[in-house]
Amino acid sequence: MTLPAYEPASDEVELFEHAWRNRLPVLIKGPTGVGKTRFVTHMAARLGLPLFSVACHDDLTAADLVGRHLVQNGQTVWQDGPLTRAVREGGICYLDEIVEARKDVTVVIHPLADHRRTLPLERTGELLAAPPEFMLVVSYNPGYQNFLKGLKPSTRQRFVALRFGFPDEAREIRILQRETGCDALLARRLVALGNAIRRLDGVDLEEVASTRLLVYAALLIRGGLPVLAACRAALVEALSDDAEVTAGLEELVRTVLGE
Amino acid sequence: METWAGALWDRWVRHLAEAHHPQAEIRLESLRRPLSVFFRGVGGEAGRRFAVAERRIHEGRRTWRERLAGTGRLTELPHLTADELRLPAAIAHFPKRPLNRDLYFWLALLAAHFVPNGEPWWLANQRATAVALARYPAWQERYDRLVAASLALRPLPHQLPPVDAAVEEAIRAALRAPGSVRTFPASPRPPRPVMLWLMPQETDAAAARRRPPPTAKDGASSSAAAPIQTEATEDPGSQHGMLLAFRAESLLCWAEYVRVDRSLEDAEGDEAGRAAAQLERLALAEDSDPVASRVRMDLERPPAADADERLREGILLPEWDYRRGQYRPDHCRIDLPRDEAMPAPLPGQLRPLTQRLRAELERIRSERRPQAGQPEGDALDLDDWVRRHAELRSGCPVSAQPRYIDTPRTARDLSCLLLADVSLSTDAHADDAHRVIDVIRDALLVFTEAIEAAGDALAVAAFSSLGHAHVRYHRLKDFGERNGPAVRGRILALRPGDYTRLGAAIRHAADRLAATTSRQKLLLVLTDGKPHDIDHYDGRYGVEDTRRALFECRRRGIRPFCVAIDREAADVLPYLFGHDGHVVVQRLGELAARLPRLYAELTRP
Ligand SMILES: Nc1ncnc2c1ncn2[C@@H]1O[C@H](COP(=O)(O)OP(=O)(O)OP(=O)(O)O)[C@@H](O)[C@H]1O
Ligand SMILES: [Mg+2]
Repeated sequence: MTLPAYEPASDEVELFEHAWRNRLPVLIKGPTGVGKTRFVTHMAARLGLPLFSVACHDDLTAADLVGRHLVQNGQTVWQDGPLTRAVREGGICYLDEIVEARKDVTVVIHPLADHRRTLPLERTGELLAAPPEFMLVVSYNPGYQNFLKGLKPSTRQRFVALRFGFPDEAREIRILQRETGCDALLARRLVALGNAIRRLDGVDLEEVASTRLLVYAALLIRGGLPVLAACRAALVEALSDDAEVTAGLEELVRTVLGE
Repeated sequence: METWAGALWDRWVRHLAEAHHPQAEIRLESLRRPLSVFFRGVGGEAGRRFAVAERRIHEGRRTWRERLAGTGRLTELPHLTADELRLPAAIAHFPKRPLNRDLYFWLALLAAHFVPNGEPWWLANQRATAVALARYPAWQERYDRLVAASLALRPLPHQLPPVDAAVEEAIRAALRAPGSVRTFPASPRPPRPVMLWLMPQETDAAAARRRPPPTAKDGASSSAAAPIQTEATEDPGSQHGMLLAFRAESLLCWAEYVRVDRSLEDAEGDEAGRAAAQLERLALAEDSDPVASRVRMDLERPPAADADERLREGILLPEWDYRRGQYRPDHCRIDLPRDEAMPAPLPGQLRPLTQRLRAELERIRSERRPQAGQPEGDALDLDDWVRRHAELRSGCPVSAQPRYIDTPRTARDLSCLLLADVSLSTDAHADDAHRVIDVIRDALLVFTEAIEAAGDALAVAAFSSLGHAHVRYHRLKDFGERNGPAVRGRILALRPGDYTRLGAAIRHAADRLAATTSRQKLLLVLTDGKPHDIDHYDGRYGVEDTRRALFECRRRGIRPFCVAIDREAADVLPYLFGHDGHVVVQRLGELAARLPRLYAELTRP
């Protein structure tokens, strides 16, 4: 099986391996689209572990993670949730955007994320002990301050933390070329555009161009779409609904990439 | 003074009036925001704050200049000041709109690469041009088009007298091959402005070259002075703004030319000197208000307060004495100044921003999310229903009521109180046209309008203090009060007060917030500094009392958050508000836009 490509920033691959060997849970923080999911996918494949990903949202209940009774052909059957499966099978459970999860979810993961490494299944009365291979990984985007939400210190302090940022120029060019097969010049210009847009962070844009969006733009251009149209669709309109801001962004595109 | 500067200025600007294509005109107003996005994106924030020529500042100036030239169509020459990029209010040099539009973006691109390092303007512009084009080669084609079009509007060198011809040749070469012109011929006259370049900025050296005021000597043409004087007599109030305009731009232009033009200097230098002197005097006069109030304030300063004095009447609040580790009961009194402000409409220049922010905040209101597991609601919670059945069959105990999915009408249950510091330090200048208090007023107005769109409960207040017995708390908008002319009038009537007894103001604001029934309560504190008052309320004492007041807030379920508009305050903020309990707004001009967005971010469901 081939590894999903991951272009490391520094020593995060070794760090992750150490954490896994020492049975420590990992927290990954960083803005959207900079390779958090890709990194975890890569590491799971690298370590030969099954991966169970869950995108958290505020309707996600503990039962969605742990499992529930279902009615099938007149019978009731218990069905494991992704967290329970990861524990039983000894894999990585990846909870994306953990701050979006409700409180009862954090309650479930606490005993798994400290020395106990256990998962109590209230409804079936089981107490699962996690095997050595099991690993809990969570991620969140600390970019915006939200006073209604946040990671409680008691949760945060159970994890080894990794920070992901926008890749530097050379690395992002490599990512673009590897992901899309585009030529070096296009990659370089798209990255320059990405960095120009990133200067607008917090002032004109709530979120700035992620590596993911640059990948999209490169794919569209490679597919034969004119540069301007591709960037308009993948970047400009994706980043803002404000017509005045998009007008400014389009000028940036023309400036960096030409007509 | 008007005479001399007016004549020179007139010569400068009249050139630009010649090419004019109203049908292809592009107005700055329509491009302001795209330009600022663009400018920042190409790296424009480096070192200098960005503000496209502010309409508010320049309106008067523009009218005056239009009159000066006897036309209604002349506008500013583009230039950089210490913290602004000023662009013409409209560009109509070329018959095609895209070209006029390109010129705006070119000037922004140029400004982003402009390094004011004391070089002569013709060198600095060439350098910035070369750097910008090297960095963004895709611009070359557009630049060439602009050069060709603008050269077509310039006089041909052979039609000019030899001195001017040499200058014109140099400019043409510099435009075509930026960086190629290393020496620039001296000239008795300023050349025709180069529309692709930024006008020279006054350097320290240029300022130093200004002559001290010599004795009076008449001699300049008096005809050009007429329009200025007309304006001054027509509207005495505008005189001041007009003269400031002189200081800001025309003066810095002639400072450059005084150097190269001996004859001009001999003939008119005295006038120039007097002009400078007069401007300086005016600049001082402008600052005289705050000085006066500071003096008054010091006279009013009450005798050092007895440390344990206990007040009797009014709204009394305790204060925390960290040295003793205990409260001083009833130590502070809140004054509620009477509301004497006249109702007022929203100032016109704030409307576009307000509309945009309202639209953004409307979205918060409409962001309703269905919630499962509710005792009542629009649809049966199927998930829950299945679970119940499954559990029933497997013998688990089940509660009796079915559950529903509901989309609650009032998913948000939030009250916010915005508390603004209007102590005397807000009288300081934020930039050369605004005082901090102006920026705060605008921000309060815009915030009030925007939050109304989010549908949250909002109160707005401002405070200042003069000792523990006089903590003035201006209620600008109460919870439940409708936003309207009365509220706007109160905000517009705000004036800088005295000191900053932050602890008492926060305690009183917290009392008001606590009286609301909302589940979530947010106290936004907008301040430009540290806790500080006469009667020993400064240093550690003030900081500790404020910290205690914020601690009380959190215990009462109120979340304080600080928006600071002074970098210097940044060192105590984490101690007071916590690491993620504050932001420092670096660019004051952005406060009005920033505040509602910050609010949206803080309270996003
Ligand atoms: N270091 C990297 N190596 C390889 N590809 C990368 C890297 N970083 C980003 N990418 C590319 O960007 C895309 C988005 O990355 P990914 O989905 O991992 O982002 P994320 O950080 O998980 O974002 P979100 O927070 O929105 O979930 C990937 O599909 C990949 O194409
Ligand atoms: Mg992801």
